[in-house]
Amino acid sequence: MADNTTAILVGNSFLDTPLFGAITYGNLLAAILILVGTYVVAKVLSVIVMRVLAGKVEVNNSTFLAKLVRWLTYFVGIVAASPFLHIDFSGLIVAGGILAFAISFASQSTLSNFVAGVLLMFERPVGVGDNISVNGTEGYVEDIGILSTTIRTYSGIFVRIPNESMFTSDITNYVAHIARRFDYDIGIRYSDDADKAIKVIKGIIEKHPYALKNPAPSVYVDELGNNSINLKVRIWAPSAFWWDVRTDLLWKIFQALRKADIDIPFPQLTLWYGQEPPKPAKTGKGSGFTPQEVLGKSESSPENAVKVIK
Amino acid sequence: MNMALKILHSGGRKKEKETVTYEHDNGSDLKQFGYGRFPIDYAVNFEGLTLAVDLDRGMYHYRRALGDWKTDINISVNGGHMLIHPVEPLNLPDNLTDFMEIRFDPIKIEPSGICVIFVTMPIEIGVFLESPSGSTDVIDIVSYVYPKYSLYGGANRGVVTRFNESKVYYYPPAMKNYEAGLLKLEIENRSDEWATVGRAVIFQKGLFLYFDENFVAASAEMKIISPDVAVVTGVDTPIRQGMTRSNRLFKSRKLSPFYNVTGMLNDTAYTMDMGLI
Repeated sequence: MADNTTAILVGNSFLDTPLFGAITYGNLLAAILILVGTYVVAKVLSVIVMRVLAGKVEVNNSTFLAKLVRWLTYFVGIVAASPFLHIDFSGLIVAGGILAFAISFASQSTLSNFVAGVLLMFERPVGVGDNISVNGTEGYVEDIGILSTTIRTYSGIFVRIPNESMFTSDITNYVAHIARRFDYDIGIRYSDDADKAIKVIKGIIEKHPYALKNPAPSVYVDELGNNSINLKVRIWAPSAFWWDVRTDLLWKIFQALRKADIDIPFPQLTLWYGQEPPKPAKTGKGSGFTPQEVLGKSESSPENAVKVIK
Repeated sequence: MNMALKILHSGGRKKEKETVTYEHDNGSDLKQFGYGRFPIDYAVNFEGLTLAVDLDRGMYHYRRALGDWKTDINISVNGGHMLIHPVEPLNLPDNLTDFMEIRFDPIKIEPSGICVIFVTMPIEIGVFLESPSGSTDVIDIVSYVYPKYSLYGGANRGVVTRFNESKVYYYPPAMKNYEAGLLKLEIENRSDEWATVGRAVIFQKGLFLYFDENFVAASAEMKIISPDVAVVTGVDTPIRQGMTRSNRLFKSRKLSPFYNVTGMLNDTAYTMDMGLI
């Protein structure tokens, strides 16, 4: 017990022994331990940053952020070790603070873009290749940088958007979800069988591979319009293909409806000249029509539409 | 023509491996496609599918037609073989998804119960070239089946699946081996509640296809954890002896020992956590 106490006292006295001026062996040892620890922590943190950002941001950006984190850690370590070496950074820190204030004031927007860029990387509202709309600009995300995000519009135009603007804007990401829905409004004649039209449309949708089976497409009579029975068609498709499906299916539906003798009517207007409506005629065409007959028989026919207007 | 088919499976409440002999229709009345490994200048003319490789001035020329759907490929190879194997139905018209979904009539399974069912799945036909050194690559994929996709789960966190509907069979049914394959699905309810299962979602890596002169088949296990959650895992074994393993379009990676902590997950598994019916 006594031997142990002596050893500790001897140890303490060694650590307190001055090395250079007021710097003792203990101070040196503490500084070295802090610097070595800082080095290890900086390495670990940079690896963590790289791993966390892997696949989320471009490699250049993640490398830059990892280096930034590493150098910031070095700085903190050096500042923490400096009192043990009796290095007074207070003057330097004050000067640095003033310099940093001046720089930050001068590059306020740059810094805000940088911070917004970092936040965007973590929040990830968009990814490279996504189809987005931001501030009225629509297109594909080409790159998400530290300071700005670049977009290639549908017409191939390069657009650079500062990250601060990206961060504070409403962003619509059309492909963030794996699937999306699109709608058609299709009008058919009042004389057509809506049930048959719905069956024809559903048959065409069923044949299209990318018109998803589930959620099931829905086709229904949405409105009895002025000139047509309006059908609503709602279809889900994979986000990556929805536009192709939309453009492809519309024409196929039209062709199938026409093949089934279901037509899309012209807009019509029936005028009455302040006199009694003509009596219904049994012979049909050429002898006057009731509105019911017009709607029921011939609204898609231009020549008959003219007769009605006359 | 009926014949006995020995299939390894487990059944009943207690999981005990046993050999069950199924009566099954061998489908001898059906014209079946001949899969296998052939000389490189092989030619096929089958049910509207024509496929041939010709040698023209040192260059091989691959031609394939199925209806109006045609492919023409020039191949530079010094001999070798052509492999025509069934492949998983996840490549046409586009490699959109890694998941196949099979819907079937719902089955209620008692707690701790096990049942084995057979369902059908669409298949595609892969044409591979094997160089004299043994290196293989796929050159063409063709299918008699019209594809259809679906969504398992919601649009926000679901997955797009290659969709197929099937009847439930308790024995292997006869089928055209160029249109459909057979999936042997062993369903085990590990939960303490009754579960209803009406679909299986299988990850591409879990589809290990085997074929013989009558069948294209794969096996999978579904372990029900709760009435709404199940893990579906591919099983790399044939449903009967003598079947040949299909060439795969990708190689499965080796598993990390830490990956299979639960004993149920591996890289062929998919956790169906968005409903079983």
